[in-house]
Amino acid sequence: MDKTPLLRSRWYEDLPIGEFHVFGSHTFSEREIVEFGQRYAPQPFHTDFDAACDTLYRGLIASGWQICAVWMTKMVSYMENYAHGVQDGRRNGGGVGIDELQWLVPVRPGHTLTFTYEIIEKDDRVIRDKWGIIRSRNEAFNQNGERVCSFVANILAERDPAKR
Amino acid sequence: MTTTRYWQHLTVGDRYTAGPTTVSKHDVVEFARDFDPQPYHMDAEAAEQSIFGGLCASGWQICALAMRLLSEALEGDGVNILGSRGVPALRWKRPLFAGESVAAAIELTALEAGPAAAPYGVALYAVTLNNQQQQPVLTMQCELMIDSRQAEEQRHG
Repeated sequence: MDKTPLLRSRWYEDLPIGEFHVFGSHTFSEREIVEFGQRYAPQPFHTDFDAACDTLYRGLIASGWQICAVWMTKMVSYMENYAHGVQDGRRNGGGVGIDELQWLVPVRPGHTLTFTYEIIEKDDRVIRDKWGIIRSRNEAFNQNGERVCSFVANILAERDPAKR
Repeated sequence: MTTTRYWQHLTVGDRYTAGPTTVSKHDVVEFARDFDPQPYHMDAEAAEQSIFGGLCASGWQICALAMRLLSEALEGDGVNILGSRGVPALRWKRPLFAGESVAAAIELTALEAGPAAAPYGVALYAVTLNNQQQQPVLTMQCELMIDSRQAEEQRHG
C-alpha cells in the first residue's frame, strides 16, 4: 500500500501553509527524565528526586531539551510510519534554526505530551541553489490540555528541480 | 566554596568561556538512536551522501551541550540557575562532526526582573559554540531564571 506523501517526501513547492499534523504522544517516566538529566542537563531538578523536592519545582521535571529531543523522535517516527520522508535524503536538508522556543509549564514524571506541527510560513529565498525554508509552529500539550512548549522550526526542503 | 552571585550582582557584558569538550562517534550515535534516528546522525556512509557530508551530531544534542557548558560556566562563578524560560533564537551554523570539540563563548546581554514574588530574575545570555578551528557551530540566546533571594535572606537575616 502506498504511504501518503507527507512533509519531506514532497518538494518545497508542494508543502502548503496551514498543513497540520499531530506527531503523536509520549509519557515521560522518572527514569528517562533522570537519565537525560544526568547525561545532558545535570541540574538537581532534572537528576535527583530528593534534591528536586528542595527546588522551585518541588519535584523532578524534564529538561526543556528533552522535550525538544522527544519532539524530534516523534517527528522522525511519524514520517517513517506515514511517509517516505526520512529515508529520502535528497529532499531532507536538516534544520537551520529555531525561534521563539518557550518552556511554559513543567513536565513531570507520568505526564503525557502530545506534539503538533503546522506549516506557518515559507521563505522564498533560494539557499545554495536548491533549498527553500519551511517555517513550522510546533507545540506540545500535556494531559490536561495545557501548552507546555512552543517553538518555530526553520527546516530546509528541496525545491522542485522542474521549477528552479 | 564559591560565593553565591545573585541576580542582583549580574551585569550586562559579563563574559565566560567553557569547555572545550569532545563529542565522540559513540556520543553522536547514542543520542541519535534515542532521539533523532536519521541516517546522517547514525551511519557514516549514509552521512557522506547527505547534505552534511559526514557523521554529525543531532542539532538537539548540540543545544543540550551548549546548555551544559553554559550552566557549568555560571555555576563556576557562583550563579544559581533556577531554570530556563526559553530560547528566543538559535541557529545551527555548521555541522558538529563526530570526534570534533566545541568550546562556548558566553555573554550576558540583558537583565529583566522576574514576576512579583518570584525567587528569580531573568538573564539573557548569548552563547556561541565554536569548533576546534574557531568556526561557529551554534549560536543561541538563552533566557535563564537566576536566583535573586539575596534580599529575602537579608530581610530575615
